Amino acid sequence: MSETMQATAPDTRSFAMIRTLGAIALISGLLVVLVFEWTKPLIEANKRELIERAVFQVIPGATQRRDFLVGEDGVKPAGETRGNGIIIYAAYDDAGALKGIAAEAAAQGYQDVIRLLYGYSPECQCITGIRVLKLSETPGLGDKIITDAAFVANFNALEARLNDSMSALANAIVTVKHGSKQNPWEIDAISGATISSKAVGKALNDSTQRLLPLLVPRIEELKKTETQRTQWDAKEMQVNTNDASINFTEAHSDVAASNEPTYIRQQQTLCVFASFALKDFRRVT
Amino acid sequence: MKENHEITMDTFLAGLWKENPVFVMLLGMCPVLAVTNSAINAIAMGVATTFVLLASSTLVSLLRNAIPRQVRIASYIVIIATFVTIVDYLIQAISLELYNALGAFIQLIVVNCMILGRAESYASKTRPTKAIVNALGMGGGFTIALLCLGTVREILGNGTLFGIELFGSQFQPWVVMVLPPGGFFVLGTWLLLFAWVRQRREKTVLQAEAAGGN
Repeated sequence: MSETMQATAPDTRSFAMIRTLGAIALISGLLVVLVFEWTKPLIEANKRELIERAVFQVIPGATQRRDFLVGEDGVKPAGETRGNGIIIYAAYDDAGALKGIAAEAAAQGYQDVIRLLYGYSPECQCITGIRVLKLSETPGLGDKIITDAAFVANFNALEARLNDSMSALANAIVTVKHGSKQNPWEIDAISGATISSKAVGKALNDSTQRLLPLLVPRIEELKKTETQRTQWDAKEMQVNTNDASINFTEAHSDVAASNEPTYIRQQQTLCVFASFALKDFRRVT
Repeated sequence: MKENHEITMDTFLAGLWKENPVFVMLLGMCPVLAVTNSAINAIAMGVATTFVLLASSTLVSLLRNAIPRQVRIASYIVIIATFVTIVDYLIQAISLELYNALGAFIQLIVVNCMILGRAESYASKTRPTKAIVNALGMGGGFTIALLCLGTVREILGNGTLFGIELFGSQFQPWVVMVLPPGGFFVLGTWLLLFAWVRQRREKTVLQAEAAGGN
């Protein structure tokens, strides 16, 4: 059919083709950009909400959250520093007391990488809950890591205590064969979904081994900054020299962060979050 | 080329029954088998595909006299890809959970041969209104076909429909149905059913005196 068409109109000018393709590309580009701009805030709100819900689910009793970046050089509020580090979500109750910390973990499962969010309570030095963020395991088998009540109960108080020198976990988190769990740092696997269960254990172990030695020695900063921030909110305008001399850099950055339009901070958080997820993914694969 | 602009009931109904893209033309099998493990996924995929089909058919039909034959496929692909990208953003904006469930198959709408086939063999030869009516029928037929598979697979494989528990706790889900083999089983059964019904109809029309449909 195309042959006959070409026979009747043998010499469509090159210019006509370029013009048509150019015009179509222009219309397409315009449409995509319009929709992208229109949906961008909605998509970001969705992502925020998804993480928010997950954070409050893994940390019982939490009602508000703030994001921090944990690196070699300390704990900083996420958003205004773009350095390397692990993003964590610190969750507080209504009174502003620290209830726990949520962070992401990932490991290779049976089909693809399993990404999950876990809650860590500094009080009991244990994991208080997990929530799977992304999973493509076999339905009916591997997805039991979400639905199996007995397996989920493993994470009500999974021990993640650091050793005395605070360099690693005292007991590495391991997944053991179904029915043979004896210690609080062991995860009882699901029979029939051993690989997925092991992936959860590995993800939690990898993430806690990396994060907790950096975080636990500085856990007080998460509590401190909250109280400091409320103080500074009150006397933001007149910077007290005494206060500032205590911890000037931190005071400065914290005030700056609270003044910044929230959406910029959230965008940056998402950037960091995305790069972290990507890095984690590469490391795992 | 003479264009027949008459819009009949058949323009719309063709996609639903006589030329059903899944059960008759067997086009776009990849999403049909992959995302129909639950009814809600099936509907979402069907609606997304219908939107892309409708929008690209309209645009192709509007531009049908401006696109030189030599670059028509390239033009169609760019147009289809645009609307697929738009659908991708829209689904993310509506629900991230749904987006994760549909996975890569949203992006893969761009190579769904049903859409390219409609652009090439129908929309490029007819007026926009007729193309729209036909695209709606085709999209509807595609969605219904996906829903046929999705409901059966979800009921048998998970014991639920649209996430609502149907049976008591005694029900042992038939897990293979939500796995890839189940997709083939259910598709095969539906094809058998459709072929049988069609055959019987033809026989009635011909007033053949055959006893039973074998």
